[in-house]
Amino acid sequence: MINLKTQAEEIGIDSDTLLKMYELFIDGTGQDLAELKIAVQNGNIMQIENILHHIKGAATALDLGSISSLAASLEGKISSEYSREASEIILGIEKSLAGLKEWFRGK
Amino acid sequence: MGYRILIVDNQPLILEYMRDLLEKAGHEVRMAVGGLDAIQIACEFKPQLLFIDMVMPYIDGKRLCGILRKNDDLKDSLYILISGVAAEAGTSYFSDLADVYIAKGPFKTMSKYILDVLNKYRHNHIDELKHKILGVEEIYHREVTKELLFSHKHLEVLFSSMDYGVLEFLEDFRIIYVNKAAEIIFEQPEEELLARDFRKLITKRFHPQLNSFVKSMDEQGLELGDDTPLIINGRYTHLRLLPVIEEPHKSIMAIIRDTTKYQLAKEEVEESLRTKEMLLKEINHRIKNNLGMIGSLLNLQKTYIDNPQYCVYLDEIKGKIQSIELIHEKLYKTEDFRHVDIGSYLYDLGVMIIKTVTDSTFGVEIGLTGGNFPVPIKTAISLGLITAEVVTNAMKYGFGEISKNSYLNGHAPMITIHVNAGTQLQLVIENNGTPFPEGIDIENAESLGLILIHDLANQLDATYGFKAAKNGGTVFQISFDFPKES
Repeated sequence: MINLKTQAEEIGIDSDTLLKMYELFIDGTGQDLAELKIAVQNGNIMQIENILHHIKGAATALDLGSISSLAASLEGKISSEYSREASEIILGIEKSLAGLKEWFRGK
Repeated sequence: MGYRILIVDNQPLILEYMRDLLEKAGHEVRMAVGGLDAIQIACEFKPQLLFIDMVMPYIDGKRLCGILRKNDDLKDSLYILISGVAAEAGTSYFSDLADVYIAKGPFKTMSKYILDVLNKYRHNHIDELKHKILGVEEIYHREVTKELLFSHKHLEVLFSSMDYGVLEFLEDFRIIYVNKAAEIIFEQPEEELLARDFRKLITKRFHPQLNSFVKSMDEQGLELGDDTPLIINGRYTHLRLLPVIEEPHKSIMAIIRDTTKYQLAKEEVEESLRTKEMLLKEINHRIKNNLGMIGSLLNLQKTYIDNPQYCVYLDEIKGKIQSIELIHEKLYKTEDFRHVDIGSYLYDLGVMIIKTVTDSTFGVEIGLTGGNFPVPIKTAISLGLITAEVVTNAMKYGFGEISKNSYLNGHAPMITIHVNAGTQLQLVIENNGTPFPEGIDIENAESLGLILIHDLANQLDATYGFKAAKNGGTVFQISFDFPKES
């Protein structure tokens, strides 16, 4: 799924640093998702936008295409009327994140 | 050769990535998690290059560049803004405060541009990268970000041009924003105010209120400088504090108004009013004294007149003068120069007239019933002249035939003044002397006193009349709409 050594070389950093960055991403995105759920419940569009932009930016930076695409697709549909769809997409991001976490745990 | 490089970003992921990338390239790296930390670290570390995130809470990248550029040790450093909103902002949003812009994107792409910047800097070719956003072609833009940036620009223009000082600080009181007007009020530039404890700018007397407000973050806000003057650098100021809460961020917005001109004008007006009041009192005192002197001259004149009827005329004139003299005496003893308390005025006037037209041993009692309420001066003067006339008439005709200390039907001679007001003001002056003769047409009477009463009543738009009292004596009654414009 992820080749740490190759990716670290492509970026120009150590693979240990990259591993630490993934940990930061997993922890940070977990917190972001918790805040995102509350923002969706409250219909706080601006906060939803900010959190999604943050998740998408971090996922893009690490070349995590699936999470980045999910966040981008939700960004385009933000409005209080789409809260059900938003919940489904958040669930999708959570699943991807859980898969990523599981993969790193195996490492 | 390695450079001293400062990275400023509020995201640990970016900090970790850039630290490793730059250290591997042989540079000395420091990190700051936001603008406030960056100011402190940059002043000590004196970096040659700064990689600064564009969008950060409290102090954004562009402002941070501006603040640090003002420092002599940092003015020639290379400022690189890393932006996650580069696609939406375009070059128009950026300013000359930064030298190079890099769009946030995949790390492998960013690494290429970061290393390119370092390479160009090393070989003095950095001008090739100026006014470009490196990597912008590889990201796509969001309309909502563009709208937010436009809104941000609006606020920036508004705050920087407004006359009110605007300052923002965090819950720990560290200042994170200052507009131009606030710089003028506090007489310090932005770079010196940022990161300072806001309380140090405000006199200690207000600290308990400030601490309590920041603890509660009461959405009603807090106003300082209304009751107790808040003086900053010799200027009177008014401070309005408002909480700004957008979880997880919290700050306090202080709106500062320089009220020096208003306060000085207010003090001037108050002083002028005090002087005016003093002068009015003095004028009333002098008028009262002058009228008193005229009364004394009339008394003196009486000693040279043999005809007793002429002396009665002089006493009548003196009674009228006294009614006005007493108004001015009341006015210089009060704070209200537009009104006179009518009950006490008419009572004192009655006492004075009785003393004037009789000797001190003649025992006519005077009483007051009803209320004592303020009446405009013009109305009071008319009522005073009417009362003077009626009381003089009572003394002259009601009690004229009564010998000293005599009694009327077992009662002492008595004049009662009754005054009250509802929608109408009513004045009743009653005596228990000889009753008012029947059949007198008072409206067409030729007596000077009755003509005077008639004219004054007309001026007041009043109804009035004399009648015999049930148990003997005379009742005078006048009433008119009240309150009246003076």
